[in-house]
Amino acid sequence: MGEGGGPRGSADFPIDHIARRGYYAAMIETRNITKVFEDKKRGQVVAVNGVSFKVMPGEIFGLLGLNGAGKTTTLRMLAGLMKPNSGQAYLCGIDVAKEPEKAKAKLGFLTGSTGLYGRLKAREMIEYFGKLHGLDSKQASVQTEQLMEMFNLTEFAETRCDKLSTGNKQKVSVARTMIHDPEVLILDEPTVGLDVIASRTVVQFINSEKCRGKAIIFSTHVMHEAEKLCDRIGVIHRGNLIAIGTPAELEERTGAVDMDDAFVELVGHDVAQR
Amino acid sequence: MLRNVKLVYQKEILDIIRDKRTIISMIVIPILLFPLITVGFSALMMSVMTKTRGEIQKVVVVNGEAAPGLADAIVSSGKLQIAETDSVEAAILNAEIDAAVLIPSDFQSRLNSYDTVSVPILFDETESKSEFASQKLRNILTDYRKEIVESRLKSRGLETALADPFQVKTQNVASKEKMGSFMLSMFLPYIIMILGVTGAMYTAMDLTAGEKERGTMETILASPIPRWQLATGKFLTVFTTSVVATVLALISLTATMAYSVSAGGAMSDNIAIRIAPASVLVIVLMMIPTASLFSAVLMSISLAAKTYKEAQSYTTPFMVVVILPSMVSFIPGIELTAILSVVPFVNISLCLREAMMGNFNPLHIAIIFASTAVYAAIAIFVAHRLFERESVLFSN
Repeated sequence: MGEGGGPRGSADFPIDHIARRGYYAAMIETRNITKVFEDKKRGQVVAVNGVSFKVMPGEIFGLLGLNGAGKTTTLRMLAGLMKPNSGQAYLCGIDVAKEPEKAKAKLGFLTGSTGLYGRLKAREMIEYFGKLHGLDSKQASVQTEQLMEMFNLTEFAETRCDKLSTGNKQKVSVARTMIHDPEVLILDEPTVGLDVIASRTVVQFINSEKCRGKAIIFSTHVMHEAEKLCDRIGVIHRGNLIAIGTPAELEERTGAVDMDDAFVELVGHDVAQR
Repeated sequence: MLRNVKLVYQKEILDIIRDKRTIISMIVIPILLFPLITVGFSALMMSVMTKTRGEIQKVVVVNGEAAPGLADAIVSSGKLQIAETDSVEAAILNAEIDAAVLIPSDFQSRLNSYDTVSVPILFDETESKSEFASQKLRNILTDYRKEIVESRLKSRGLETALADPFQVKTQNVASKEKMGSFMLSMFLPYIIMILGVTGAMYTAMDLTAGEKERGTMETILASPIPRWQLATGKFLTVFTTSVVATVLALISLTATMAYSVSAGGAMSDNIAIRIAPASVLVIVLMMIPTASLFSAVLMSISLAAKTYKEAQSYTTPFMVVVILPSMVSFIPGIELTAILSVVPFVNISLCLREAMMGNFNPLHIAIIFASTAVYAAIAIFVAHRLFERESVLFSN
C-alpha cells in the first residue's frame, strides 16, 4: 500500500493494488459492522446492526437517519474512534480496527460533536492538525493559508477559536478536516450554522473534492441538500440500513415526490407505531 | 513518534498558558501564597497580641484585706484593675471579670506560723484575655512571695541569696541555620505535596474532562496519532504544571522565610535560612516520581468524568488523600521506618523532612524513590489504558 496524503490534486490511490487484494475500488466500505453497547439500565443495546455499504471514488454518499439511529456510531467506527464488535470497516482498503493510524491518515473527519480548541487561534488550530497528519511546519502553514483563503477566513487567522462566530467556527472545522488533503471525507452536518453564502461555499467545496476523486460521506438533516448533493443515499434506522440507492431510486421505491417525503415514508411508519 | 508527543505537548502548553485558571493555580498561587500567609498571619497575631497585652484586665481579689499590700501591688503594676463581685466563677465565665485570686481568710496567721498556704488563681483557659490576667496575677504573687521571703531572711540577719542558691538556664546549641532547617523541614514537605497536586489539578481536568465537554476529544482522536502518544503528551503537560507550581512554591517559601528572618524581630536572633545543595538534590529527585504520580492519578480520575465540574468533584477527595498523609511532617518524633518508606505520600513527606534536616539515609532515599516511581508507573499505565477505552472516552 503506497503512502497516501500526497500533494493536493494527485489521487495516488493504487486501484490495481486494491484489486489484487480482492477489493473493488471502494474507498469506504463497511462489512456487516455491528456495535453493541453495555447500558447499565437497558442491558445490551445494539446501536448498529450489520451495516454494509461501499463508497466509490468521486462519489458522495448520504447517510440519513433520525437522532439515535446509529449514524454517529457508524461514522465513529469508520473513523477508528470505536471498534466494531463484529464486521469490518475499511478506508482505502485498510482495515480501520487493525491499522487505525494508517487508515485515519486517509480520512478527514467532521461531525457535529467535533469541537475546536477555543484558546487556539484559527490558524494555529488548522496548522496543528496539519502537523498531526504528518505535514512539516512549512507545508502546514502553506496549506493553512490556502484553506483560509478558500473559506474567507484570512482576516480571522489570528482570532481565537472561541471568539469566532458559529459560521466561522464551522468553516475552521471544515478547513481543519481538509488540511492533509484526505482521500476520504466523512462530513456530518458540515453546513450546520452557516448562512446561505457560507453554506454554498462549503457545498461547492464538497463538489470540487468529489470531482477530484474523493469518496465522501455526507450526512445532513436538510433533505433537499442531500438530494442535490448525494449520488447515493443510505437510510439508517434503529441500527439497520433499511434502504440504499440514488435519490431517484428511493423516491421511486416509496412513491414520494421528493427526498423529504421518501425519508418520512421509509422511517415514518415505524416511528408512528412507537 | 517522539515528534507527535512533542507536538501534542507544545500545543497543550500553549493552550493552558492562555487559560487564566491554569496561570492562577500554576504560577500566581504558588508565588503569592507564602508572602500573603506570612504577612497576614503575623500582622493578625501582632495586633491580637498587642491588643490583649496592652489591655488592662479586671480581676477580683477575694479576702484582699487578709493579704495587706497585695491589692496595692496589683494596682501599682498598672496592668490590672481591681473589681468587685459576689460569685467569682460565674463572673469569669460571663467575662464580667477576667480572673480572680482567692486569699484564705487565715492567710496572715498561717504565714506567721510558717504554714505553706495555697493561693488559687481562677481563670478561663479558653479566653486569651483571662489567661493573660492569670499570668499577670501569678507574676505579681510570685514577687509578693519573694518579698515575704526576703523580709523573713532579713529579720534573721541572713543573706537573700541563701534562699536562692542557683538559677537554672537552658541554652539552645542548635545553630541558627539548624533552627532554620528545622522550621523549613516541617512546612516544606507539606507544601511540595499540596502545591504539586493543586498545580496539576486544573490542567489534568482541562486536558481530559474539559476536552470531552468541549467536543475536542473526538476531534483529536480522529487524528492519525496513536492514543498512547496523545496520552503521553498530555501527561507531560500536566507533569510540567505540577513541577512548575512546586518549584515556584519552594522558591517563594524559602525567600519568604529568609526575608522574615532578615527583617529582624525575635526570629532573626535564633534562625537563619540556608538550604544545603544536597537537600535541594533530594527534593528535585523526589519531585520527579511524586509529580508523575499526581499527574497520572489526576488524569485518570478526571478522564472518568464527562464534564469539568464532574471532574472537580472527583479530584477533591484525592486532595484530602494527599493532604492528610503529608501532614506527617508536622508531627515530631515520627521516624522513617521500612514500612513507612513504602507508604505513599507519607514516605515522601518524611524523606523531605529528613533531607531538610541534613539527614541523608541512602537506603531510605532509594526505597522511597523506587516505591514512588513504581506507584507512578502504575498510575501512568492506568491513565494510558483509560485512553484506549471507548466507554471512558465516549461516556455519552
